[in-house]
Amino acid sequence: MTGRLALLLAAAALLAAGCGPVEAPPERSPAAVAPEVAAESPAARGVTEVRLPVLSRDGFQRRAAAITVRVRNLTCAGLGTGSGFAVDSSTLITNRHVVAGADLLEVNTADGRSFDVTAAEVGVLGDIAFVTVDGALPVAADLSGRAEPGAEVAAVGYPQGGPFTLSRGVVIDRVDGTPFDVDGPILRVRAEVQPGNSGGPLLDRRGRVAGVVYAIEIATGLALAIPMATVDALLERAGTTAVPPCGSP
Amino acid sequence: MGDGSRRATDPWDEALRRHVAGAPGGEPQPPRRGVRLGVPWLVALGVAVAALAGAAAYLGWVADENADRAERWRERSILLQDLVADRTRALNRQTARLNAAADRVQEARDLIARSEEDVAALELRQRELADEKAQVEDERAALIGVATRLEDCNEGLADLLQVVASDLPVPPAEVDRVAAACSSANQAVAGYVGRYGGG
Repeated sequence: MTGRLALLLAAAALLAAGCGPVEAPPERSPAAVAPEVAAESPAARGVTEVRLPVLSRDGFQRRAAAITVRVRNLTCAGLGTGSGFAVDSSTLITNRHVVAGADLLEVNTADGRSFDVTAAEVGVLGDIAFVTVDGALPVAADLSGRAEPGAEVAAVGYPQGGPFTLSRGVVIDRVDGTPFDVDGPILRVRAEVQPGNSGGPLLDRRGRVAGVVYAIEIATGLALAIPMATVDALLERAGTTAVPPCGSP
Repeated sequence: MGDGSRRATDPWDEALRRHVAGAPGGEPQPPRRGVRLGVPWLVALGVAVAALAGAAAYLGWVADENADRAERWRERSILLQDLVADRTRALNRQTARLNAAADRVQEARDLIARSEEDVAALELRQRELADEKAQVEDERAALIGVATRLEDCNEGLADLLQVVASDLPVPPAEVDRVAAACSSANQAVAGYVGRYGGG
């Protein structure tokens, strides 16, 4: 009898425990659960503000053409041409041998503008020159490029004084430039360059200037370029001087 | 097991049957008495009754509370149903806008692609014209060089003529200088003709 009673009480307790009230609905307003997005809200407007892909199918070449100029040099020995690239709105870098002996220096851009040269200096060391023009160059180059052996690069310029070209290639190695008339490391690049490319920029994959094309190694046909770090070091070490007159070595 | 077997083994039933049958030898049975519950049983019974009453009260409260909450849930479900309907309509509107925007983007992409082709063609033509202009400027610069040398030659010859006309002796060095200038001018002319033609 006692066992039955205890069993009955336990069952009642269990029943009572299992029959609690159901959970009450939350106190928050249902509207706050999912606030409506107004048509004028930024999120709604964002539907029409779609980021488009890069518009230019060849933006690299377009930018390369914008920073690269053609240098015309009339000397006592005749007419010569080379390349260069803008480093600010009126200054460009090219090669010493491009401006050497100049009686008349002029600059052309890829979009057809012409500039007279107001001043020119050459590096005491290395085949580097700075030219100042009397107008605003289109675009200044980004000089922060780096090109290590194996890196894809592009040599840009006006070979043979002809139209603008962009020649893609790869950095073969970094060698001592002393045998190549540069007192510092230089880059050897497998890319098609010709006379007239001298002074043009060597661009890395992001279009930044990694060096200055200045020669062709006759034995291998490889292009030679002075890295920007070497350019900076040579200028810091020896500075610049006047352009050598025509006929000087 | 069935009821018959249990009845056959129940001693109470056996005694009853013997009593009804008046069988001799049966033992006299003591008179039956009423069951008396002790105090502990009464306490237990009271506790049980109280527990049952409490449980009944609790369950009543729970039922009442559940009814109230169920009503609130129902009201909330109606609100949420309306809200879902509103949101669905809003979503449909946004979807329609998105589709319209996607159509505009597609149109814009097509236009941009065509424009890009036009721009590329124009850029190519621009570079060609820039190159033609540069070549013309090269020729002009080359002519300047030729003209400068011819001018040097002419000036030298004019100076020599003046000297000759005035019957003064002609310095050989001056003759050499003029000859070099005129030779340079001839070379410049020949170079120009060779590069650009004589026409």
